[in-house]
Amino acid sequence: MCGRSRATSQSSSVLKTGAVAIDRPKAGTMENGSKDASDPAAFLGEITGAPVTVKLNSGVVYKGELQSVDGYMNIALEQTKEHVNGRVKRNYGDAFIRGNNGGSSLFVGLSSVS
Amino acid sequence: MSHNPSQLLPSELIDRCIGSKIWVIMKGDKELVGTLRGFDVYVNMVLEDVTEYEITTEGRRITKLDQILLNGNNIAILVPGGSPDPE
Repeated sequence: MCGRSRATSQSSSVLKTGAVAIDRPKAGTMENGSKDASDPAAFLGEITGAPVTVKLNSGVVYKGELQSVDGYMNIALEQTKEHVNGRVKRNYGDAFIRGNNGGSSLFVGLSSVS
Repeated sequence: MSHNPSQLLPSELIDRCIGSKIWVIMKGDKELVGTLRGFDVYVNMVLEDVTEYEITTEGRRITKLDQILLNGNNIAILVPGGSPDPE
């Protein structure tokens, strides 16, 4: 499922992604310099299986392999490391992060956050 | 039914920002600047080449990120093209 390339997700059109797709007012609005518009649902499809960093509002960071995300932004991670104040606190084989934990952002690429 | 063309809906304003820089001010002491790739009905956003500014007691902490999905729940203000630095 992670094999979907950027090119195909672009050609399959952002509106095909279902429930969270927005109603785009004009067809031409995407042409203002963007090469690949990707709404959150398309983006999640692209990064499933990739190593990600999940940062909660509390500042706690979870790093692991993204297994799945649902409409509530509940997140399932594999081989998860819990970082508190930059230090690894715990390890989990499988972790489920409940969506309303104020999960502020999901970062792709493990190296980008210390 | 079409709406008055002189009126710009908030979602249309954000849609016009796709592909360009946007400044996101969160509830609490956090701001982000990045290129907007897309957003959904909750205004969850996909951003690229992001700089994250966290205002802490020790000063401003800056984090660079390649690509993020930002939860829309804690977004307060969006500024097209803006940046927290005066330059």
